[in-house]
Amino acid sequence: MSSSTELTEKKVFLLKSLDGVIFEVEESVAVQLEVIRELIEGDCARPFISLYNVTSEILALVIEYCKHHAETCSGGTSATIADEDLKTFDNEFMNVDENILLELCSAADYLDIKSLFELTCRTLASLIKDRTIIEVRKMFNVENDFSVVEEKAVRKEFAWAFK
Amino acid sequence: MGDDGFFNLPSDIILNIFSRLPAPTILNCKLVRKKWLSLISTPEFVNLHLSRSSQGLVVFQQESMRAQEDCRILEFEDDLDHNDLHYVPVIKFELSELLGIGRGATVQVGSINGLVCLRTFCHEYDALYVCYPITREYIAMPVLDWLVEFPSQVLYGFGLSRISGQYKVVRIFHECVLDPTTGALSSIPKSECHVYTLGTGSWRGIGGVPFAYNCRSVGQFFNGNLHWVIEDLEGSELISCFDVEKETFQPFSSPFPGERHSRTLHSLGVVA
Repeated sequence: MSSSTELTEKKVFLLKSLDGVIFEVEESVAVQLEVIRELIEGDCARPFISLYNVTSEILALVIEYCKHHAETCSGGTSATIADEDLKTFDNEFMNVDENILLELCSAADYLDIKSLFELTCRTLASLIKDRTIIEVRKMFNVENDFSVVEEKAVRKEFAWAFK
Repeated sequence: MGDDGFFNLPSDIILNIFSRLPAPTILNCKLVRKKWLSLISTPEFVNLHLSRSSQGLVVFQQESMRAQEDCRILEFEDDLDHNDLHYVPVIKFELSELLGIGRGATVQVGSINGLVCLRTFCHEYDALYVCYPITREYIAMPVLDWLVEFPSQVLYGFGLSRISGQYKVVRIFHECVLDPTTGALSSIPKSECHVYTLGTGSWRGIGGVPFAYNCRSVGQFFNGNLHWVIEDLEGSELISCFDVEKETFQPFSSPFPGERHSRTLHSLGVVA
């Protein structure tokens, strides 16, 4: 079988986004998508894997994330440096607008990438944290569906705690 | 995802995000949109938030010039970047405003799963309530004619029954008579125990209590039981164990019986 001098052939997989764009990814990236792990391990990932819930824009970002994480973890660097590096990368990676963040969060949930799901949930929470009601509505572009009377009733119920 | 991105997320993802928010933001989120209000009111949210939130510290503050007392609950956050332990005030409220009563001293009777049982008392009243700071809900227990004068005693405990999952506040009352010469406890002509199960709205008598309770500590809850330091009439120390599910008392002897002459059991605590 393969000797250490021989170049090992890297397995690649094809992922097809909702809008039909096909991405070529290495196995180390593909296995991070828990949702398709079984397909890969069962050798059922040919010719390509269709990911119906993810657009090409978001899938490209997800692949970038997984690629960086795969490379950092397999590189020869010490665990501390790798951790630092991933932290810096994650921070920069989260520097996108709210709508992309929501889509990334949803995609991470669908593709079952735990670390990305955790990261996006945490980032979304930190965006909402300490915001006023109006700021939160504005950030996510949502309409107030409470009537004046209904809003008053909720405020009244919790009036003792609105200090 | 369009203009309404957040609201197209599945409920479990929204709950996951909300469960990471501090209490004041959660209160704001209730008023952003009706769907959020209903999500935050679900038991799923409460459980998820509890599983994630750290333990907090309850601080009572009395302003000497004004007849009011504040209750603050602090949550400590791990700051990974600075290795500092810093706290965030989760909630502050005026107790007198909450209960509509005058000045009293407030102590915490107990806290389980984010519920905090508080007692405010003075020479005029003795009030108990359970509040849930995260969703800003509270229950005031009916105040009965229960003013207790020295040397009689009253003790409380707050527990969770193991099987039925009910939260219960336990009140133990002793009418005590002291020996006029020595000042030591000579008899207990009357003792009673009442239980308030959350959700029932009333206190329920469960009969007498077979021991003399020492009012030095509030009941410590762990493992489905409430514990108090007690003495029998011969002066032997015991630890009372009240099964919150069965509502029965099963005392066990002091863990250090040989040291009775030099040391007395003072109070109990729980290692969490």
